[in-house]
Amino acid sequence: MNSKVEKQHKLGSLVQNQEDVSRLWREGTPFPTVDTRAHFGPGVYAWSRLTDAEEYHTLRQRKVVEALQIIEFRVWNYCLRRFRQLDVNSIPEPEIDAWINRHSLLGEGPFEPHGYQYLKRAVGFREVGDPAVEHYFHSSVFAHLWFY
Amino acid sequence: MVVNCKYRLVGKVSWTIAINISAEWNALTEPPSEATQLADWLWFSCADRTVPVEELHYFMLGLKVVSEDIEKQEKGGGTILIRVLDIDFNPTDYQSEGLMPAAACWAAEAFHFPKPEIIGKYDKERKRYAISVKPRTDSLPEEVVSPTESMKTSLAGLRDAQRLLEQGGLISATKGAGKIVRIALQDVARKRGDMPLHPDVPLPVSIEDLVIVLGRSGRKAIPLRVNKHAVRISTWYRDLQFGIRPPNRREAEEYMHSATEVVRWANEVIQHDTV
Repeated sequence: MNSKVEKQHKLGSLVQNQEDVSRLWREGTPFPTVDTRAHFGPGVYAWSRLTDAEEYHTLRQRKVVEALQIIEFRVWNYCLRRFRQLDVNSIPEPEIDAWINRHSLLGEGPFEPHGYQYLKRAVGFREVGDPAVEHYFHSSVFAHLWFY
Repeated sequence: MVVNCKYRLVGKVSWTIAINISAEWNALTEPPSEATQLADWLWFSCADRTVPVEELHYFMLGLKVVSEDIEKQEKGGGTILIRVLDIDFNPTDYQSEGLMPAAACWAAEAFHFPKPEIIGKYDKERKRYAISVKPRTDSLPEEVVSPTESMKTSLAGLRDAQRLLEQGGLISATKGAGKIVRIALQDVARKRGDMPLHPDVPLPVSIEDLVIVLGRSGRKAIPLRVNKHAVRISTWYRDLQFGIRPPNRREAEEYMHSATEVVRWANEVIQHDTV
C-alpha cells in the first residue's frame, strides 16, 4: 500500500436500494429524515469494518424484497480529524441514556441537535462478539466522502 | 380508527430499541374469518408482510397482557379486531421482544388506558435488553399467597392438566401446564428472594426470563437437567398460547413430562430451601 492510500480512511456503507445508491453517487440529497433511518439527523450512516456491513446487509436483506447492496467510500484522515466529533460510547454510563434521549430521534426526547459532524456508536444487532460500530457523518460533510 | 404509536427503550448503553406502530382497530358484529384469536372477543391480524410470524408472537403477547384493560375500555361486548398496518423499527438495534411492550403501549393509546409498567434493562452478559411487561391477568394469586401455598395450587393444577391430556385435551392441557411452570418458577424466585427486587418492579413474564433470573441468583442455580426441560417449555409456550402450532399427542406428552420435571424440582426447592 503506498503512502497516499495509507492516508485515506476506507469505510463501507450499506444503503437500502439502487435509488439510494444513485443518490449517494450524486450530491446525496434528499437525505432521509425518518427517525428509524436518520436518528442523529440527515447524513450518511456507515460501517468502518466490512464484516459489520456484511452482517448488517444479511440482516436487512431478510426483511426486504428489493436487492440491497454494499457500496464503499473514502474520507481523507486529515478531514476526518477536523470534523467535530464524538464517540458516543465514551460518554460515561450514568449519562449515556440522557445523551441518547436528548440527541437521537430514537430517544424519548425532546430532541436537540447534537452539533457534531461525525459520531461513532456501538449498535445492538450483533448477539455474539464485539458490537458493530455505526459511523454517522452529518450531511454538511458529505462533500468529503468519496463514493465509488 | 388508525392509531400511530412510537415505543422507545433507552438503557445505559449506546443502542436503543425504537419501534413505530401503525395499527387500526374495529368493532365487529361477527368474528373475522382470517385472524388470530387472542381472547373470546379479541382478534388480531397483520397486513405488514415483512414481519415474520415468530416475531408477531411478541406483538400478540403484548396485546394479551393488556387484554383486560382493553375489555374494560370497550364495554360494548362485541368482537374487536386489531389490524397492524405497518411496523417500522431501527434495524441496527432491533430486538423482536420489543414488539411486546410496543403492542401494549399501542393498545394503551388506542383504547385510552394508562400504559402498563414496562421494565427494560440492558443485560451486559447477553448484550441485549431484557424486557418485561407487568401482567394484568392471572397475576393476583401469585402475589397474594406464599410460595408454599402457591405451589400446592400448582401441583393440583398439574394433576388437572394431566387428566385433561388423558382425555385428549392436548391444547388446554399443555397451555395449563405451561402457565403452571411459569408460576412455579416465580415461586422459586420469590422463595429465594430473587424477586421482587422492589415492590413496584413486576415479575418477569416469560419462562425464559425467569430461568435467567434463577440462574443468576448466586445460590443454587437450576440443575442442567431441569433447565433443559424449562427451555423446552419456554420454546413451545408462546406457540401454544396463541394456537399457532397446536401440539400432536407425542409432543403434548413430552411437554407435560417437562412441565412435571420442572414443577417437581420447584416443589423440592420450596419445601427444602432455607431462606
